[in-house]
Amino acid sequence: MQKKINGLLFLVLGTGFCYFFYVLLSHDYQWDKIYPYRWNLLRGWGTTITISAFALVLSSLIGALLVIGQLGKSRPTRILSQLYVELIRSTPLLVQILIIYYMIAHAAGLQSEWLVGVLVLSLFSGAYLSEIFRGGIQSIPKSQIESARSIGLTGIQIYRFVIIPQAIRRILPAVTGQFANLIKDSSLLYVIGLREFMMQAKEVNAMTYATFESYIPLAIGYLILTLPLSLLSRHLEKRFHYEH
Amino acid sequence: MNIELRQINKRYGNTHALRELDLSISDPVNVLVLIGPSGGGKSTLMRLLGGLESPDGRELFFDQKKLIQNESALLSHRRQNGYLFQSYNLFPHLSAIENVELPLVRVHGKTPSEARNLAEIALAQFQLEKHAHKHPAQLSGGQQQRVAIARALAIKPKLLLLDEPTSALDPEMTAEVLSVIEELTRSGQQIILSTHEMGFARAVAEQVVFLSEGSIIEQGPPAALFDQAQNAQVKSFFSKVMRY
Ligand SMILES: Nc1ncnc2c1ncn2[C@@H]1O[C@H](COP(=O)(O)OP(=O)(O)OP(=O)(O)O)[C@@H](O)[C@H]1O
Ligand SMILES: [Mg+2]
Repeated sequence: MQKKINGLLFLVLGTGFCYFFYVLLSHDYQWDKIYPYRWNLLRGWGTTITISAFALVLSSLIGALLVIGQLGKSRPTRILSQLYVELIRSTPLLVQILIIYYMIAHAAGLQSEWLVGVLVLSLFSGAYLSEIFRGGIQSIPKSQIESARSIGLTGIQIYRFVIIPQAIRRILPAVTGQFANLIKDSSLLYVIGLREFMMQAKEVNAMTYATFESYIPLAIGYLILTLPLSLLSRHLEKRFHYEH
Repeated sequence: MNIELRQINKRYGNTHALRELDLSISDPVNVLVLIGPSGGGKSTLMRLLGGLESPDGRELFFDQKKLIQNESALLSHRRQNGYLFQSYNLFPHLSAIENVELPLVRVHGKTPSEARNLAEIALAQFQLEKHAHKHPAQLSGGQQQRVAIARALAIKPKLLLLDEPTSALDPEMTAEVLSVIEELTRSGQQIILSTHEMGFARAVAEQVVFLSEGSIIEQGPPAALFDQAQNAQVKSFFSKVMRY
């Protein structure tokens, strides 16, 4: 049975890949068409990187605050944090971008697409990160907390010296994965006119009608950013697996 | 040791883990051993004595002083005493020596170099020097328990509470840990131990308490209790556990 499935899978995937490469390779490439716009693409790539970098830091902060709210003692804060996380996780990012940009940011007089971009991405990714953080903290067995209590650590010390150091090791793979998601998700920010990587590629395509030549660099550009993160995430996962 | 409990109750939901328990231990007894059937309340009593939990009634006396049942009084109580659970005492993200150092530095205000010294001495006392820099996952169960004992002793505890410290170990490791404990009992260290190892209980105890269904059924010096138990339940318990 397993063998049959493997065979079938190999056939389907193999054919898919062959067709994919056939299409890619049989295309008559005209790189000179997009060559004049190479700096547009690179600038877009740079914007994607800076936006992602800022959002990465800000979303970690938001995630940390949310998890403190969710696990904290104050009931209203707990409910609000949970509500926030559920709202973000149950609506599409695209909808959030549009609502925040056209309704909230405009009402608040915030005109910079760049700033709104960073903000939306951080708010979105922060909710997911807080869930990862929460899972990590709650995965630490009760016996560790008991042991920490028995040696006389205070509540905050227990978090600082026992729970968080162990939780970080456990969540690192998931967090790197989420960072890769964040980079990919930033490609949606073109809808508010932010001149990031995706937007630049679309524009180059519109001006040159060279679809392949515009979008292949786009895919490669994202891969260069996300592939190392995915590999790192896999590596960390394996290492954690062996440690236990 | 000087301990007095008056009419202590402890309920977990519908389970009445300790019922109207009275216990009075005074000098020169230094080694108190708790025995009795599983679920009898040994761990519960140890947790109250260790300040890990509060009784429903509030009458616990150590050296004629009432143990106030608020978090800060319990915290300082826990800080003076050592506690050992059945297993998972150590923090897996720290090496053996770091485990011993943590309470010295974070709870008892030692400088890192003082702590290193004390930790080295404590580990050497149990022939653990070679393993000082290993993590718990790289140690056998018996070695882990010995490191945990070293950690508990490094702070010079007034009272050492050992809750079935060998029940998760195989016979060889059990022997290795019991011999360490036996040595401690001869050093004048105050110890309260719960165990299912009847031979060992008899050998080291200065006073034995038989707990069943949350009450003390019988109490006395080991020879009297083991050889001339008055209570029928205690006699039948011994005849069962001594059969093999
Ligand atoms: N946290 C808890 N929640 C609910 N019930 C509990 C809890 N801790 C203990 N109990 C119950 O209290 C009773 C006494 O348990 P305790 O662990 O003190 O027994 P014990 O004598 O240590 O048993 P053993 O020899 O198996 O360790 C048991 O019926 C147990 O199920
Ligand atoms: Mg027990």
